[in-house]
Amino acid sequence: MVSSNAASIGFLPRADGSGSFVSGRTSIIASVTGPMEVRIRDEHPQKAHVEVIVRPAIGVTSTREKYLEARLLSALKPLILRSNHPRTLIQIVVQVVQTAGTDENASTTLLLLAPAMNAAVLALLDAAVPLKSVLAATTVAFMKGSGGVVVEPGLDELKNSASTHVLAFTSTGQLGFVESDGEFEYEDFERVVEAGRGVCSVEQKGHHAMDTEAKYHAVGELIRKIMSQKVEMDMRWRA
Amino acid sequence: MPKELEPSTCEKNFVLEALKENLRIDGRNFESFRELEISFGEDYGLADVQLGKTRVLARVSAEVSKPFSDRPFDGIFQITTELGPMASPAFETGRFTEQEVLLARLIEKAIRRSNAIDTESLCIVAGQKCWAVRVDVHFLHHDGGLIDASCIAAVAALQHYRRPDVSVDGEKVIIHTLTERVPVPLSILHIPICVTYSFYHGGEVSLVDATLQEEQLRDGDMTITLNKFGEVCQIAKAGGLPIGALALLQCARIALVKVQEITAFLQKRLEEDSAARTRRDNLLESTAQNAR
Amino acid sequence: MTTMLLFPGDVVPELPTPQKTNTALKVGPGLTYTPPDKVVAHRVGELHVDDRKCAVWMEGNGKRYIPSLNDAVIATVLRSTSDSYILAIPSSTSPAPASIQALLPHLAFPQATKKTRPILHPGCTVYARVSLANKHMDPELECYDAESQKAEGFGELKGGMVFNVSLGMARRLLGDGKKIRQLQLRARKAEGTEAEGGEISNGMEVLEELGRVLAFEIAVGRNGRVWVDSEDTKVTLCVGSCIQKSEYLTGDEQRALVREALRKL
Repeated sequence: MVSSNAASIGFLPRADGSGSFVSGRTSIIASVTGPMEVRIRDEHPQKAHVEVIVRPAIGVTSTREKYLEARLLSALKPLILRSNHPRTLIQIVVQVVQTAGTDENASTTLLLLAPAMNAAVLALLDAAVPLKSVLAATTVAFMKGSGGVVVEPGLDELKNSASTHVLAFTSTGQLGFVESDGEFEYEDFERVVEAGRGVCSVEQKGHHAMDTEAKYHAVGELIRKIMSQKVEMDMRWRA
Repeated sequence: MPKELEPSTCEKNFVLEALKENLRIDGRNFESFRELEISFGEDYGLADVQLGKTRVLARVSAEVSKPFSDRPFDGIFQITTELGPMASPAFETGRFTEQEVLLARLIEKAIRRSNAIDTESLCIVAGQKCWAVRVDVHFLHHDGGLIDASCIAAVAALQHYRRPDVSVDGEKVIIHTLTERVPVPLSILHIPICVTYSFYHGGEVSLVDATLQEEQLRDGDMTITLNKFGEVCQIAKAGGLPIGALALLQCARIALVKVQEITAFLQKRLEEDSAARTRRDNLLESTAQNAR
Repeated sequence: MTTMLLFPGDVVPELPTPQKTNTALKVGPGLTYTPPDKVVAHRVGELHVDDRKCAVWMEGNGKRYIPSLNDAVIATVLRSTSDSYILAIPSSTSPAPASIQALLPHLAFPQATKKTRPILHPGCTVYARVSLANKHMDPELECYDAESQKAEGFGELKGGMVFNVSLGMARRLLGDGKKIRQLQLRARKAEGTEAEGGEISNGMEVLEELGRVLAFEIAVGRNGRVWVDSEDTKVTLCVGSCIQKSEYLTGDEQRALVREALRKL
C-alpha cells in the first residue's frame, strides 16, 4: 500500500506554532506554545522545561496516550536547544484526529508515533523554537516469511509483519529515535534502517527525487517543502 | 499556568466606544456570524467546524454496552467537552474551570436533554445490550463563540455518523462490519443550534457571535438554542446584566433566522460529502472490476 | 547579498571575511556560533549576509516575542510595586496568553523624581524601550531614549486601539524592510543588473499610502503590537485592518488595498 503523506503548518493563529501531518488514514494535529511562563515546580534554572500532551480522538487519556507522550518527549527534548530559554516552558500539544485502526494493540499505537512526531516537529519549526536539527519520522514493517521491508505500512500489512519499527532521522541522516515491536535479527534491522533513512532524508537532493514514485514517501522532502513555502510567503512583500 | 491577559484599558474603551457608533472591530454587523466552514473527515462522524478563527473538532463513536438498569429501553448518549491547552495555554488538562463546567452543561442541555437523538433507537436487546454513542468535542482554537461552534460541530458529526448494522437472532447479537453491510445513520429527531448573545452598554447593544476580545469585555450573555422549526430547546442566562423580556423576544426572533441559515448550510455540506463518498465508492468499484 | 534557505542544524556555508582586521563577525538572530569557525542555524529562515558590515543573520517570521536590548515594545501595566511597575509584554498571538513579565522602574521616565513620576494604572498601555534583556533575568523597560534621555515618543499611550501583527510585519513597519531593500539594491549594482528586476518593495507601502490621505498617530512595538489613534473611530479601524491585511502583500498590492479601503471609508 502506498500511503500518501500530506502536511500543513500555521493554521492555528493563536498557538505560536502549529503543524498537521496525515499519513494514509492517520491524521494528527500538533501545536506549540512557548517559551512561556513555567509552573514553579517544573522550573529549571538553566534550561527550558518541555512538556508533551497527547489527546486521543475518542475517549479520555489512557495509558496509550501516556506512552506516546513519553516516547515523543524522549525524541523531541534533545532536539530543542533548551539552554537558550532557561526558566520557561515549551508546551507541545498533540491531538489525534483520525487513526488507522480502532483496536488498541501495540502495533496500531506505533502507527500513530511517526505522524505525531512529524506534526510536532513541523509545529516546532513553525514556532521558530531553537532546534539542533530537523527530525523526520517514518514507520517501517518487516514482513513475515518473505522478509520484505515495507515503508509506511497499512493495517493489513501490519498484521502480516514480523516486526514494526518507528524510526526518526536528523537532517544529517543520523538515527535519532527508534521504537520497535516484534522479533527481528540485527541484519534485518539494518535493512529497516536503510529503508527508513531513504524516506526521512531532509538533505536537498536536487529534483530527481521528486519525479519518482518515492515522492509519496519522502517525509524529509515534505517537511522541507512546507517550510520553504512558509518562508516564501513571509518574504512575499519583497517581490 | 499563565492566565489569559485582560484587554488593556485603551482596547476596552475603544471596543466599547466603537460599539456605540455601530462598529465592530472586525467590521461585522451586530447580528452576523463570522464565516462558517464545516468539513468532514474520511471516517464517519468526524466534523471540523471553523467559525472565524475559532476551530472545533467533533468526533462521534459508538460501542455496544449495557443499558442503565433504570432505563432498560434506552441507549446511552454522552457528550464530552474538555478544554485542552491547544485552544489556549490558559486551559489546563485535568482541571475543571467554571467556564468549562458551564460549557459542558449547556451543550448537554442543548443536545442531549432536548432529545436530539432518539435514544430508544439505540437499544439492541432491552435491558442487556444497547449502543453507547459518545461525542468527543475537541477545541483546537479559541477565539470566542465556543458554545455556538461546539454545538454546530456536535450536531454535524452526529448527522454524519454511521454506526455498524446489527441483527438480533434470539439471544445472539451480530454486529456487521462496515464492509459487510451498509452502516446505518443515527436517528436524529431535530437539530438544535445555539446562538449566543453578548450584551453591552446596559443591554442597549447586543452582539451575535462575539470574538474572544468582545467576550472578555461583555456585561452579560445569553445563549438561545433553537431548531429550524422555531422550537426553543433551552435558554441559558447565567447571571450578568439583566435584560428586558421584549429584548429576549427580539433576540429569539433573530436567532431563528440564524439557525435556519446554519441548518441549511450544514445540510448542504452533508449532501456534498455524501455525493463525494458515492462518487469515490463507484470509482473504487469500477477499478476493482477492471482489476478482475 | 546572497540569500539561501537554512534549516536547523545547517551550517552557514560561507562567512563574510572582515575587510578590516579589527572588525569582528556579527552573528545575528537565528544563528548559533560554535568556536572556532562554525555558525549553525537553529531555526528555519533565509540567510542574509552583509559583507560591508561583516554580519550574518536569519530573516524569518514568528509570533512569540523574545525581548532584546533597545527594542521598542508596547506593553500593558499589570500592577505597581513600591519602586516599579510590573508590565506584561504580549506577543502577537491574539489576545496574548502567556505574556512575558517585565519591570518598569518608577523613575525610568524622563526627569522623573519620586514626586513627579507619572502614575500608571493597571491596564494602561505603555510604549517603552527594553533596557535589560537577558535570558536569565526578567526584562526591564525604560520610557526614554538611551542617548538623548528624552521621551522621544515613549510613555503612556492614551486612547486609540492596539492591533496585532506578526513579528516580521512589526519589524517591517519599523523600517527593517528598507535595510533589506538597500542590500538588494547594492547586490544588483554589484551584479550590474540594476535596470532589470524592477522596483523593490520596502514592506511598508501600506503606511506611506495611508499617511498620505489620513491623519493618525501610530506606534509600533517589536512584540507584534501596533497602536493607532485618530480623531475618528472609523479611521483608526481602517488603518488597523489595512496593516493587518498587508502581511503577505507586495508593495503594489498594499497600495491597491489602501485605495480600496479609502474608497469605502
